[in-house]
Amino acid sequence: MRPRSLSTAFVAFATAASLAACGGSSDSTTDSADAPAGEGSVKLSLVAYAVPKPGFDKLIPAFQATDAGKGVEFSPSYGASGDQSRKVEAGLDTDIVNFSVEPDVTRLVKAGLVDADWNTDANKGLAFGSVVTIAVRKGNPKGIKDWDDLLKPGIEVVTPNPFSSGSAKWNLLAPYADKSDGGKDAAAGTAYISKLVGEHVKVQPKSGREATETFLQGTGDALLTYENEALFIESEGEEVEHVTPPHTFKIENPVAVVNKSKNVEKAKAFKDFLYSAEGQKLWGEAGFRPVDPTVAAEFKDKFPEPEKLWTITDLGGWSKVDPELFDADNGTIAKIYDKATS
Amino acid sequence: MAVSTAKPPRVPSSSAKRRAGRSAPGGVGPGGLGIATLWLSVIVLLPLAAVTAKAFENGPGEFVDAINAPAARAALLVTLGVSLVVTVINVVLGTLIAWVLVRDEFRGKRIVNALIDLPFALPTIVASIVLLSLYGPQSPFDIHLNATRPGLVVALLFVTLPFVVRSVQPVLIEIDREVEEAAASLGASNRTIFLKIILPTLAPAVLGGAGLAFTRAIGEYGSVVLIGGGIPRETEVASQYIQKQFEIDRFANGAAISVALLIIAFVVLLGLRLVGSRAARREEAAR
Amino acid sequence: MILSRTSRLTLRTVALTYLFLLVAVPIVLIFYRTFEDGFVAFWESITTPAAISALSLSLLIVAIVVPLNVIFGIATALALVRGRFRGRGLVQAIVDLPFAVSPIVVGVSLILLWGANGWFGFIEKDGGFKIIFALPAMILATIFVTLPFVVREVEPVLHEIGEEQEQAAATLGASRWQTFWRITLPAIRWGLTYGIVLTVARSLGEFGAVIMVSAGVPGESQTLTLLVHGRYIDDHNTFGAYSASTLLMILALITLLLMTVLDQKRTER
Repeated sequence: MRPRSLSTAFVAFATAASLAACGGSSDSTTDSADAPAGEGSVKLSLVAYAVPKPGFDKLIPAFQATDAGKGVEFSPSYGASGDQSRKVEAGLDTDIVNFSVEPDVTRLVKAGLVDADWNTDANKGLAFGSVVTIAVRKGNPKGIKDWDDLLKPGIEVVTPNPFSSGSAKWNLLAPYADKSDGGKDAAAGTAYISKLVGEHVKVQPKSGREATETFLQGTGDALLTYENEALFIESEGEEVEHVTPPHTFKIENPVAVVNKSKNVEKAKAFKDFLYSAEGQKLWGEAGFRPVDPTVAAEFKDKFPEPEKLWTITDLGGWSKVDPELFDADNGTIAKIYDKATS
Repeated sequence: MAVSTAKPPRVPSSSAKRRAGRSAPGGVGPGGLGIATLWLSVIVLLPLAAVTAKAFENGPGEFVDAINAPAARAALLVTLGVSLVVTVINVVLGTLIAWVLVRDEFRGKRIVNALIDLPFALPTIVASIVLLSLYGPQSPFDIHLNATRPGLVVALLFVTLPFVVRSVQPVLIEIDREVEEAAASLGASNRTIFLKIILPTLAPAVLGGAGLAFTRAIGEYGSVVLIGGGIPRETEVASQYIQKQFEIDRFANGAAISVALLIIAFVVLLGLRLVGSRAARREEAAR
Repeated sequence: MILSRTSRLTLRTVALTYLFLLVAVPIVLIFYRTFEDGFVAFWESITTPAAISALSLSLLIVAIVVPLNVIFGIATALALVRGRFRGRGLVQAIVDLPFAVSPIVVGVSLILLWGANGWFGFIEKDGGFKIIFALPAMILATIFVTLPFVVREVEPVLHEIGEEQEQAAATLGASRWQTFWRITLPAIRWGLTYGIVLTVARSLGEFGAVIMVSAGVPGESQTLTLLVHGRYIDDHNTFGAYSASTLLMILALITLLLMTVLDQKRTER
């Protein structure tokens, strides 16, 4: 027996490891975390919903180029809005959050992690937004143009699971608001959702992002999604296009600073940057609708104004909509989902 | 022989038992035993106890309800059905591959032999991406299996490939070929030799490998997560259903299905152990 | 049983075609897709900060899990082989249990035990020590799934060598530790090494159990396997996912090579 040590295996793996590690950092920006390490610098942990990555990929470097953002590193994480919010509630170290829907911030307010007055600033805690749209296969072979087209026989619709995804809530609220005439005729809205979910929705991806991947892998005829997500996948050269129904819904994605953050000042500075004229412009370039009216005006052509844009306020605000429609045990839409999927 | 998972449940050989029996008691102090027990408890037993307790938190009625919910039942049935298909294919093709590797000679046999272990060494998520690139929307052969049950079968066949092969191979090597030759000289056909001599000898090893492949298949997650599509009642497997329940905060439901999976795996392994010890006893009696 | 040339060739063709389609083709395809833009693109993709962080996290987990598995694995194997106690069959069954448990169930169980609302939730709530969605849970999950390897590889060797030598050493006045270091450890070293290689491979490759308990923040709490998934799903970066997969595949091939070499060593003995 040769006197080889037990560490033979380790040596091999260590070699493989150093082989991979000695390359050092590159300036590729394909990954979510991409800030160069610096001595004594501040690191902001951003926990966001599934799809704003194309936006933050522009906003973060721009912020780092400003005086306030000099030396600030970022570690962003993206995932299903509800999931991400629950992780922060469970104690994930976070400085700044960006969720798809307000109730995911409200959860953190209840947990004492976000100040109750987070949405009282000029922009109500909303740095950008979007509208609900329908992505279809290139050339729109099924001729889908409006909500009713989704209920045609044989049409399969991809939309995520509303229990974990914020995108799913917006997607369902859009036809609900339209069919119920802003919530006045709840029964009509519910009937539409019931038919859509019961007969046309077969898959339940966990987030808006996963829904997109599912659709791109060939499942379904239509994908309900954010306009920004549709623009993003189109820009990636995927074989899809999108149709925004004439009556659709305004998506408002909140941003908030976590009050337990060790870097509240920097987190606030970053949040403020999102609202700045420069920040707003970058959001617009990345496919998100800016909230600043002057900047929004510049992007008038990129973001056509729908004939009718319902808002969450039309339905009575999240504090009314969330318990009524999405409460896991009693919400109307939650029950429809449970019935269709259990 | 490669990975321990591929071996049929180990029955200590009689000689080892005898030797161990002769040794003086107390080779391991109570401390050693205590450490081992504590280790196993903290790492394995307590977590499984916690999930079982959660499943029965609201009484056995809720447990049954959780498993009986149509989507849960469908996920379990899809899992069991697909795993069964995978196991049967493994039994046939796994035995065949083992046969070719032992009894056939051809160039590059060693490489093929090493290839069998690759699914063990390859992370399951990589397996999923690998198979998706071949049988998914970008398939170079225009074969689209993503989000279909055949897609699940392919993924599971990939990860369970080594079990039957590695379990049958050593037995096939040890088989006494003189008996076969004697039978042949007495005029027995290949068919008779295979059915009367080879198959009975291989059966316990085939069964052992099949059982391990089956338990692996019912719990599999990584390799199906991308190619499976997770369509409820179509291609959603039990592990995906459990994960979804945890994502939407329905812990008790997820725990119930987890316990159901544990019970199934346990029953299969227990059955294997029984078959294994019966085979060992037969062997002993034959000596 | 002597097969005709035709049937032998048929069997061979069936076996090789199956393996070719199931294993060889997909792997060659991934290599091709990874390197079709050249080695530089691959290299850049696996050396982004997030990729390096994922690799170091994976290696860190390996570095913590392996010693723990070695120490407790040997202790457990010794107890199983040398100990005389009731319920040994039960302990045997528990050691095999991790092979039969779905990785997702592992993750779920850990959340229910160590999570803030679990049985041991007080550690996090009162002690302020984060377990779930942090490194400790990822380590616990990895130990769970790799626990049987060292035990199961060392145990048969311990059976094989018996206790004569150890007893002789003890008679000659060697202390327990001396006996262990001089007699037992050298005897089991190949079995142990083999168990370690399997542990390393499985630790690097574990996905389901880890994704359930990791915070999944790129650059911080993503292992290599989570990076593959994260790039594919969250980043819409298929090439990046392929590159990370290829990196893992190269590690797997090294493992395979080690396994083959060690297996020969072990049987030589």
